[in-house]
Amino acid sequence: MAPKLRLIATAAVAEARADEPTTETAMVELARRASAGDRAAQRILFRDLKRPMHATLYRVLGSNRQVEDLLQEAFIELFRSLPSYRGEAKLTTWADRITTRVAYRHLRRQRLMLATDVPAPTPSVVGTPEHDLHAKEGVRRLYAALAALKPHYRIAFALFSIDGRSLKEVAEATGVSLIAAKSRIWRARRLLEAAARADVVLAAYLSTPEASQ
Amino acid sequence: MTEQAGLPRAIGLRRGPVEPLSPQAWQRVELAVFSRLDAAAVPWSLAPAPLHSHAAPSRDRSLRVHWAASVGLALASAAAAASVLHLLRTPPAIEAGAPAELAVPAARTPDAIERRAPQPTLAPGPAHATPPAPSHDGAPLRVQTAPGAPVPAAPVAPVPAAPLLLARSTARRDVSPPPAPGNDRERLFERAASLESADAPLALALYLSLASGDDAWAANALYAAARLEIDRGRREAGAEHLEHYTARFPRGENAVDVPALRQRIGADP
Repeated sequence: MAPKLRLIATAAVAEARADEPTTETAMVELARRASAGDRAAQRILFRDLKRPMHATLYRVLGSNRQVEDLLQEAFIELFRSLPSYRGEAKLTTWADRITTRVAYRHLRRQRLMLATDVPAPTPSVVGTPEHDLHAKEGVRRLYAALAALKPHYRIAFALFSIDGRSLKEVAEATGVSLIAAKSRIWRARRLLEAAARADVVLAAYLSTPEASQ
Repeated sequence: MTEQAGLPRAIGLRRGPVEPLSPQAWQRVELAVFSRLDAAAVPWSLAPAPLHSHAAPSRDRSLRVHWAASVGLALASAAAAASVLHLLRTPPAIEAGAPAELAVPAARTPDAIERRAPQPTLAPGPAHATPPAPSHDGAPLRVQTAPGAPVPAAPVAPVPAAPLLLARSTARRDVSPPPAPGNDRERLFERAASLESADAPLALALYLSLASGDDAWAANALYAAARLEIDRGRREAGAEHLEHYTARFPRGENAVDVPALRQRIGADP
């Protein structure tokens, strides 16, 4: 593009951005085309949504184990449900809700199978090797304790306390009222505190500054 | 300690980074998702293609037709093979001294298979006469339905079973439409799409070679090339491809997406 043209283009973009159609509008259009079977639109949606969907699954599950399968499941469900998407909510919220539902089903299946497979997430703390070791073990114990909770408690807790979402976001993602979301988080906390009373390492981890920010 | 709506975050982990998935893992997920979507699209073969679909309909339709034709062909071939095997394994029950009598199980004739006639249950017992069945050259052919009860038949030339069946298979095959001319280009496009994360330069080269045409796949490929360049951080090349796209395919299927891509790179016509 010639320099003059580029300047004109830049000015045009600046103007366009003043009253730009939001990205969400573009997403809705993409969703419409993807639901009609447009493979190019589906691929763009995949690339736009893959990271938030993965992040949700990671926070809830605590590791990348089985995440690939769950991502597949979530995307397939997303693409299949797109025809019913009317744009009332943001597409990212819609995708988040589907991801949460997939995670819920997975956790429920795990509980039914009495799985003892406890995920070990990568701890986020950085410090001395000894500190890292404690943190890693603390996170492992935390997710082990979470595995004993009912899936809807676990998901609400993970989204609120680990992923740092607001109550409203938790309620949206889990498809329940604010009161119900709050109640689930509260119940999960009570159960975790009970677990911590019987687990010194978990109690120590939960009382550390990085665990109680 | 943060509080929200009266709910303290008494237990709150520091929000650390999400452990990323490897590019290979993402590629596996993407391939699996789109393969499953493709597979799910096949059984809808009898449904009309969606009106508002852009790139996929022609591809899906050809996939559906080929799928249906393949299944039909496979069924026909299996039936033919079973028939040939049976004829080869069943020695003709020709009575000594009666060379003109031929015993062929009625329900096993190729004609019966072709008509999908129900196979009668043949209980051993006294022979019962059966109506003559037409032979392949039009002469009546008498068959027996019980062992040891040969029925006189008109002299019949040896039936060329295999060639006949082959001819029928060929006839079936003619029912399926010839491959659409765009199929190779479609496959090339899919190949390029699958290579994007593993070998972006090669994917780009494939897209650009496709873009030299003037069909729908050329438009898709040119748009995909622009998107890929932008994904790789090569904004100018992406903008250039977008300009070409807008000039060559102003009513292209991805024309509505061009502004969004332009916004990503901060360019505008």
